[in-house]
Amino acid sequence: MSKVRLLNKKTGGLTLKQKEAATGIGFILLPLISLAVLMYYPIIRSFFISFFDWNLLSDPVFNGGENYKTLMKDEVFFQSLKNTLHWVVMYVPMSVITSFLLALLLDRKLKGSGFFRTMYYLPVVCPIVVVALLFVWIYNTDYGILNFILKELFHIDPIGWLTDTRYSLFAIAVMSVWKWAGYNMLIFLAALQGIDESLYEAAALDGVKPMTLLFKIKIPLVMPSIYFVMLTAVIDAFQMFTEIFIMTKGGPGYSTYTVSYYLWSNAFEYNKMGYACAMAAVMFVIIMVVTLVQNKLMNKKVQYDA
Amino acid sequence: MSGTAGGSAENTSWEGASKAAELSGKVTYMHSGDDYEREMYANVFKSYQKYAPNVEIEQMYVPSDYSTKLKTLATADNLPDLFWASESTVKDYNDAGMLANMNDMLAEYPQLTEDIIDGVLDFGNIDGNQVAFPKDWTSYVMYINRDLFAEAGVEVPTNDWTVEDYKEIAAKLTQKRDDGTVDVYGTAVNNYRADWINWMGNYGAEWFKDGKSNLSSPEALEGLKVMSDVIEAGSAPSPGSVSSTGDSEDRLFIIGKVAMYPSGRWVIPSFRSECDFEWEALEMPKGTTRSCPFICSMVCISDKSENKDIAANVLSYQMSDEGLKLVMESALSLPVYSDLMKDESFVNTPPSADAFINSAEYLGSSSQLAVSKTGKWAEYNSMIVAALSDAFEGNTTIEEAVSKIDEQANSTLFN
Repeated sequence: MSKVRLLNKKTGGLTLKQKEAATGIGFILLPLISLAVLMYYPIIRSFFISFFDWNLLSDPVFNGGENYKTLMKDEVFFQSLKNTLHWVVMYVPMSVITSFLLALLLDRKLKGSGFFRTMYYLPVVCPIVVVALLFVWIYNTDYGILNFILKELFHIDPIGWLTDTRYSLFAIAVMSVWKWAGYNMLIFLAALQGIDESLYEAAALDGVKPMTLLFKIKIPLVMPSIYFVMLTAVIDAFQMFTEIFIMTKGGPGYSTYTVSYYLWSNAFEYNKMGYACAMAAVMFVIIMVVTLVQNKLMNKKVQYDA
Repeated sequence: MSGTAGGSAENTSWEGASKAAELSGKVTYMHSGDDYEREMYANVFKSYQKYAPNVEIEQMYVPSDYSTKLKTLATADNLPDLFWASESTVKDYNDAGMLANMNDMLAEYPQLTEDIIDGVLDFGNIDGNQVAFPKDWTSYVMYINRDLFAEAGVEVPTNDWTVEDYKEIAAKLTQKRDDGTVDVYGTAVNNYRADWINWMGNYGAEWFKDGKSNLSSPEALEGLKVMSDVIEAGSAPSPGSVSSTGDSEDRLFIIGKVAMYPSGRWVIPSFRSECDFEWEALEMPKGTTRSCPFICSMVCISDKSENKDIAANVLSYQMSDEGLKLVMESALSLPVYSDLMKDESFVNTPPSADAFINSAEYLGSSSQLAVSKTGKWAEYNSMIVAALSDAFEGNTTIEEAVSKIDEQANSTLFN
């Protein structure tokens, strides 16, 4: 009996092919329904609410594009947007470069590389609240170890890492890099270790120098991973909230307010859910545009086959 | 106010006892606080049930993020029968038609308003309807570490001290090493609404006037400058530098790093158990006058409650002498009744009760009352915190900060 005939053979009213299709649909239906209910519906509903004045308690009142008009005049929103963009520009390169360098260091046949891999990955599994509180102490102006070291070794006066508007965002970025570098490091490491050994052997025979090996062989071949890490890091960076909530509550002044933090304040502290949804819609558009541009720019450089 | 310990209508003067015996049904009561408060209110409910054997009270204790959880229940149209709401959020719930009018309840239980401190009911009164009841209040006073005063050879001031005395003493109490490290700060500053309301009020400021933010007024500015002055003089740590230790000003007082600390009555239980030195409470130093902020949680009854009569009876018991005694034992707050304020079993010691009793005489301000009824207090509060934090950390001046607050608030919130 040929394969096609076997698939078309009727079993209990359905052909085997139909049965397989039904099973497949059954498997994807649950995640699809979950996605629709827990993801797509809230997104659409949030966009819908952005045209209403709603304090969660009273009935929503349609106000046209008033929330968007107010948003365009809201200085705190623009300050938050500026801080968020500043954060993306500062955090993403720092994070990607650090992770990649760590991966390069571990991509060798060294004794104890498993130990180092574990050590670098350890911050990722530590709860963010614990890490943030740890760094709050490290950064403390009067008693923090960082200022102590700077003073003892370099005679630098105490710096208000989290209280001076010039340093606060940078200080939080350093903490975030420390916390998350291990995660992206693993992705890079897997990509580096997936490079065919024969390419290295050929390069060695040709007398290729280490930097050339890095830029001409390793980086081009791990470009899909770099692309993926960059894409997710940018999206994550635009949504930065927890670190700010724990470490500075947006202060001093509005110097560490991010759009996510301001959005949360409007939704759950000021009871302005419609306004917060308008903010979310604007952020959605910004992230989408940035992702599309990034996709266009980087996709050209990505080579999927070694 | 009246009432004695008991369990039946015969041996108590709580006016709701007879009715309690006739009631039957179930109510839910939602409140915030720590585990200690949970137990305290569990005792109140247990004690109430001695009078009302057929009433069941489901205690909904929320240890954190209370207002979000309450809002979620409200949005789901599932508010508890009784719940706490801060004086600044009552208006939102009332505007949404979610609060029961308590006027009839106040008429049915006259003890509820007998001897009540002037002005406290106003915070729960909207357009002539009482929609929230102040369950207690907390005074703002200055806690002092007597041992640090003795160590510095500084005489402990009396309740009639002034702001000038305060600044001078704070400087004297500050212990600084040659390398600039501070071992003890003379005082501390909280970037918290009770602090600014107090300091501004002590200069008679109308910081919210005619529906507008008015922090740039000379009186408000003078009050706020007290806070920035002690920070600039090095007599107090900036609030940011304290929070960046992951700690709080009251912990610094407990460990003897701060000699004078302005705060509410809620710190007393932890001070009693943790301070290993002599401490005392004084009235806040006088500026040109004195004003004490009204810090309180109000009890509301849901308009959708099917057991409003039970809810009213429970509230009446909670506010009776018998119910309040169980709550005031903790020293977390103060009774809203003038006669009980003079009774040491309700305003227990240490510290001495004078500062708390006296502050009831100048409780509340027209500005605080007016702003609490705008429904925009939370957002206005955030603007003030943000701008003042900039000033307290030395990034701007206090004059620039208040000007920014007024401009921002009056153009976006109160336009």
